[in-house]
Amino acid sequence: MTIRVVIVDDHNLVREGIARMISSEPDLEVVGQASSLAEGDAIVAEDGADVLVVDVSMPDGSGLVLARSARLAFPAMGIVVLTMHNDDDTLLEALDAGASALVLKSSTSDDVLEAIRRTATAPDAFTATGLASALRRRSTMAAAESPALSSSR
Amino acid sequence: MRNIGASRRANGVAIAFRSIGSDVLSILPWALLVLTLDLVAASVLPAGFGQPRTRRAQALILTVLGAGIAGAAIATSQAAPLPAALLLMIPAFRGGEVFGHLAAVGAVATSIIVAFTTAQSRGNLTAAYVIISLQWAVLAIALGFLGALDGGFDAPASAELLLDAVKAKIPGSRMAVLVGFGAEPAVPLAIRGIDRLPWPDPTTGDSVLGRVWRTAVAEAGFWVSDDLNRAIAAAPMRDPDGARIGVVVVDRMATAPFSVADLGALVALAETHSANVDVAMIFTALRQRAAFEERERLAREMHDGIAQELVALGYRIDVTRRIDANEAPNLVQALDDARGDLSRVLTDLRLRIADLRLAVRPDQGLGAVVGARLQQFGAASGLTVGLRLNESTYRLPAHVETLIYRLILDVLADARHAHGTTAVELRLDVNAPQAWLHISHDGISGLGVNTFADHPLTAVGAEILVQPGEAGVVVTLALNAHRPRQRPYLVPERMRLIS
Repeated sequence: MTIRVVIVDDHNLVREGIARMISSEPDLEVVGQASSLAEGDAIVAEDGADVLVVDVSMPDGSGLVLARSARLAFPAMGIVVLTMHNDDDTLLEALDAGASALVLKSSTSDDVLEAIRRTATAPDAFTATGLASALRRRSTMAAAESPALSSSR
Repeated sequence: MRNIGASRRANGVAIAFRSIGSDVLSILPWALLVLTLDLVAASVLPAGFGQPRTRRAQALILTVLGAGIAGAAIATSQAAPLPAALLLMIPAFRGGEVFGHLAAVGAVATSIIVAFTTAQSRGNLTAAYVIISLQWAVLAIALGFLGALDGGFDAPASAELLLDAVKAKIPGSRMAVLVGFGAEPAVPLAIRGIDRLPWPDPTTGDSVLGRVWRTAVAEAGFWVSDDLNRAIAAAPMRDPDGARIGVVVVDRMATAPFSVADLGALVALAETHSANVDVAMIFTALRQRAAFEERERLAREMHDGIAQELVALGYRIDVTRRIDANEAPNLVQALDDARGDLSRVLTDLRLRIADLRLAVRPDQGLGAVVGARLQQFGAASGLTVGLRLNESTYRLPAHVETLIYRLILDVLADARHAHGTTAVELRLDVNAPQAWLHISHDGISGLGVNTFADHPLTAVGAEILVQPGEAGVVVTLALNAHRPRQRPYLVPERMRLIS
């Protein structure tokens, strides 16, 4: 049984590159490609998918919006967020949106394929490089800022 | 002031050179003549013969002569009026700068009279010619008025001129020009008497300065604190709509309180100089905004263009590597190396895009931007990053904040490229107009003791010290810190540590 994947990315070269890498895997299949959130939403709703791979920076909004709505509509769907942005905010927003994994675009194909396979079987989990560090930074900053700021403002 | 004069002379030269276009060889002698007269007029003022009054008269005669020659050039170049018309700008600007608005108008009028008279004597005075000439005359007058604007577009210079005038009329030991629109924090543009700011934060607390800042109504009174008892007077500066753009404040010993006449004089000076400071601040804000937008555009283009292409290239290498692993195993290592290099390039590119996007903005203090950048840097590089911030509610001028931020980015870039870096530590202490920065990392640095010797921050009163060593490098910055701080901070210390 193959894992059915929908790719949403507005950059043709990247989308085709991901599609090519997925197509070379016997257990994976690309069932749809979209270059906008609206198009991606329609494909997911119509054809369904086991895994949604979505870019964050899209011309018609944030890919995290599609991730959030897909999570609500399809709780069993794996959602892989692809991004160029390696910052804590994006990472934690992806977690909050219900994504199953966040993968940097600078990662290798093996990392992307591994994330697709893992999220297909464990859509409720969330994996991302640097997650623990980001959480530590966030909690440390919150603890350091709150007493001083509350007394000064 | 000498710098402002030099800058304006450079503007005159630039305008003249712009006028030398493709089909303007016939104008060249006129241009050289007008330019020479302008340069001579500019130089006789500080270095001519006779009393200052005589030198001004000489400069005025030379400027009027230049205006007449510009008019003659216009009359003789009807086929290509643009370059000749640009010559008109030179005496107009010089007249405005040195002698004021009337001289600017006079210089332009002289040019137009000569141009029309000459054209009429040649039988070339057409309606179209008159209209075009008058349009350029209006532009020249506008430029002349800009020349008459004290301080030009330099906000700190405009504020310094205001303090010069205050010092001449109102005896006071300390004075400052603080600017800020609406709810923005106060920015000290010019200070006299002491390097640090002796006054309470105008945006908080009930003080004479605070009341003037909030109500835009001038007030004189006393400022009493634990160890001080000072007489203080403050007057608002307003834009043409009446909104407060800043406050000029002066203080002295309480035994010599400010009189109603002193306050009236302060109000008059603030009103007189408000337009200069307002125009300079607007110009600075526009220039900054243009820079932000250009940086954002570049970041967007890098993100949507080359970065995505590199990502796609990486995927192609990955796919090729899988095929070659079976068919050409000797290529696998080379492809793996290429993929590793590409990933490093992408990481570097991502950080550079972040550098372009994260800039000091009017609505964010330097500390907020530095905090965001350090957080992003730690996430992207995997290095341990420590950050301590300590900011008063006074802000540094925007261009100074930007320069400090760029200095920090330079050191972060060094940390990223240095061999063996494991940690970066940054301490930023801002109590405008003073600031202290300490940034260090433990890698083998490429920074030398003279790396920042000519940094633009040194031109605004900063001392930058680079201390490279075997265990890393330490870069320290001290801005306007000639005297030690004598008072505690105005707000509780804000500190945070990113691990």
